[in-house]
Amino acid sequence: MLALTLPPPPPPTSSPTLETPGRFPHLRCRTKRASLRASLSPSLVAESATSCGGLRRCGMYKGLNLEGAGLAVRCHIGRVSTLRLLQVELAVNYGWFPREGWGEGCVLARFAIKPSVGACHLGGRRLRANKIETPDRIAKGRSLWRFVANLACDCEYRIEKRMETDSDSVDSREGQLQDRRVSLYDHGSDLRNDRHPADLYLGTRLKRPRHDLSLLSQFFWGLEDEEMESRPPEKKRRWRGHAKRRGVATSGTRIDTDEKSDNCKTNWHDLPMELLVRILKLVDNRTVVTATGVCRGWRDSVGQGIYDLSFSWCGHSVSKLVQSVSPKFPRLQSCRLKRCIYLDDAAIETASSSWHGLKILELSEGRRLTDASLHALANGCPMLEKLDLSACTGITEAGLLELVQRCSNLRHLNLWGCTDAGTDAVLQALAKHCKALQSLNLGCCEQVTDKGIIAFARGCSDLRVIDLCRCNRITDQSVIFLSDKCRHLCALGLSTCAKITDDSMYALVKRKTAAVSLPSRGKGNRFCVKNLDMSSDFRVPKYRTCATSSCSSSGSTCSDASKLPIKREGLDTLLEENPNYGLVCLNVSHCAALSAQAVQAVCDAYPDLHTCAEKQSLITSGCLNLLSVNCVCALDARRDKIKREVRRGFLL
Amino acid sequence: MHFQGSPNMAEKRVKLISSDNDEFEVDEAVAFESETLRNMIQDTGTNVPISIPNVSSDILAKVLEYCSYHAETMETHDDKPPITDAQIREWDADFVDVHPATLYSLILAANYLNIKNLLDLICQAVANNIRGKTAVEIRKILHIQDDFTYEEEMEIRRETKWAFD
Repeated sequence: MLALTLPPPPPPTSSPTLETPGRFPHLRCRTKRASLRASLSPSLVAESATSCGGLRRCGMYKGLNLEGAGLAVRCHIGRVSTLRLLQVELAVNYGWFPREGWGEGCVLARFAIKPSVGACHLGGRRLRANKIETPDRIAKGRSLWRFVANLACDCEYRIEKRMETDSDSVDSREGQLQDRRVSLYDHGSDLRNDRHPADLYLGTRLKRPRHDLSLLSQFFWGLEDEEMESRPPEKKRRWRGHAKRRGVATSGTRIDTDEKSDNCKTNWHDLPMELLVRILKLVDNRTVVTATGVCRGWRDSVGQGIYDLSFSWCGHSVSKLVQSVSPKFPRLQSCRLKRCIYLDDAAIETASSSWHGLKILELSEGRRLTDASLHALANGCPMLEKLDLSACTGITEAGLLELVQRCSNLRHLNLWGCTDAGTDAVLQALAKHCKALQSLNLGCCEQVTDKGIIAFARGCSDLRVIDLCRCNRITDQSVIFLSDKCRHLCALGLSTCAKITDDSMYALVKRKTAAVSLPSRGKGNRFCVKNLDMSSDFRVPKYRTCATSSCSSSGSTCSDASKLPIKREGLDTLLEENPNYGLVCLNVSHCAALSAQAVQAVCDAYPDLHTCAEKQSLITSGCLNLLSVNCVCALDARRDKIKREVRRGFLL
Repeated sequence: MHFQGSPNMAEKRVKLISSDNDEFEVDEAVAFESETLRNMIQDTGTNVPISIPNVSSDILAKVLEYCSYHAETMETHDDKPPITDAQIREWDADFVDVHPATLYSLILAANYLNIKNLLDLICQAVANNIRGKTAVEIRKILHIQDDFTYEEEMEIRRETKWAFD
């Protein structure tokens, strides 16, 4: 029946006695409109399912939540003919699927042959490049109208772009995982005349407000560049065709003057700067760059009027282009060079000698960059406020120390994946020189220890966001110091920090209770003083309403927010609104040592932490013992549902 | 032109004088499409003819054509079916489908007279025309004289090649 060649299922590692599901306390099979929640180990589920004839007998299942149940999914989902909604949230460190040939492709391929499955949710999985044909396969599942996939970042970027079908998709990078929620609305011919309005609602709720998004995306990964969006994938080939023809046309050394059109020259070269800038704001960055070559007037106007530029669209020649073009933009303030893997030091050296006013620079995945780039930036761009060095694996501690000493205005720093650069010495230097730092991403910097974090927390007391994903060496001490010293901390990522225990959680709870009992002028910070007027009387209720309104209006603000300039995107606006020492985002995924009580206490202490799907800001994926942690709205929803069912007479 | 909504306003006519001393008489509502004219009229009243020194007659005629059409679409007539957005878009597209020289004069006039919709329309039209084009193509589209030296021109050609790599 399946055309796929699947390797045989690996033998179950643990061998519990095969019993009927009724004997397993955690395997709840509720009847009728039931949902099965597999909170046991996967092999157990697989075996129990096998022993009772697989899920195929459960003909009544409409929704299925199989968190952490890899084998069960693989083995038996294909037989449940009534399934409408499937949630498969699996964790990386369980490592069942990453085995060769066991990727989501298998699962999705099974969906594809199951036209009844309406939606699927795949959490935190590595999708291999050769498995990415899935959307096409899903297209065969005729009624599939929503597809949510969290993919790992080792996917090829281009392939991900292909999966992105419309602007509703969300790019977020969670530690080393890249969440990509793909809404395949174009497969949703059923979407418009959908018979499940509740599910449809789920689909639309995936839109998050922009600030929420950047929180979950570990604070630095914004939306894709607009110019990438402006060029749909199917046009790429056409572009390439253009380029080839142009390459041939421009390879000649002689300049062919335009004899045909020079009989009537216009005055467009005199176009005032503000009008030219107005026009160029409507086109992509590639056209902005080419506009510098139209005539001298345009070149000067563009140089004076353009402050924000991206080269992320550029291919192999990005270094040469940046080197050649950068002197034409002397007033640039923000430059994005995301995922330019061909970018080298020479380009950065030239650019930093021209862009002295640069404030925002994104160099993520500049794998060829070394300390020479950082040296040039330290000397050329002292105004830097936001620097994204994620996955620049070539830089080291020495270069970063120099940069940190010179660029004391730094507010946002992303060192995700800089394994040689993210060290305790850098953290100490940050504490000494960059006291205004507001967000820091130390994901995968495994050299970082408590010593560095404690020094950092003492120095940078204005910190709002920190991501310590995969910093395996840090212990509770770090979290205790961070929660104690950094009063404005509102987002904390502790994913895969194995040494974190309940003490950290209780420290966070204690911080909240201390903050509530404090008078609101506790700190002589502009941050608090500014907000004192607004919220002096009934601080907490007002704060809550503010937060919920921003969440509920997410769908409407989303489109507007995407037009905001880069300075206002992301955390800045959110943080200005949330002065009350409240955590709004906490990631404790794969922290196996945490207990449900402690995390629940944190969840209760901070009303903005949600575990419900539409506002998820407390991320506990990969922790089987945290499945019982729920936010207030999830409990409310459950209560409402029970009430409704009671009213309908289903239960009574 | 008759406006049912505000009969007293419809009586008011505004005289505009172009750079080559041609006189245009339009309804106040039409002139109010332009922020600049609106401010002038509010300052001086409708009795005094307003001279627009840096817009020529043919361009001013076109601008007023745009303004009157859009002032008309704002009005709701009982007897006529309302003009749909698609019709307006089509009309706008025809309106900006002119020679680049005219378009240049129009964008300057729209900027000077501060007619936001017209300015947006022209900017969008130009942006659509030059999007994704090389410098040489943009020059051809807008009939711009190439004033670079040979060395600069060669550099631009190299950049073009890299940019479209």
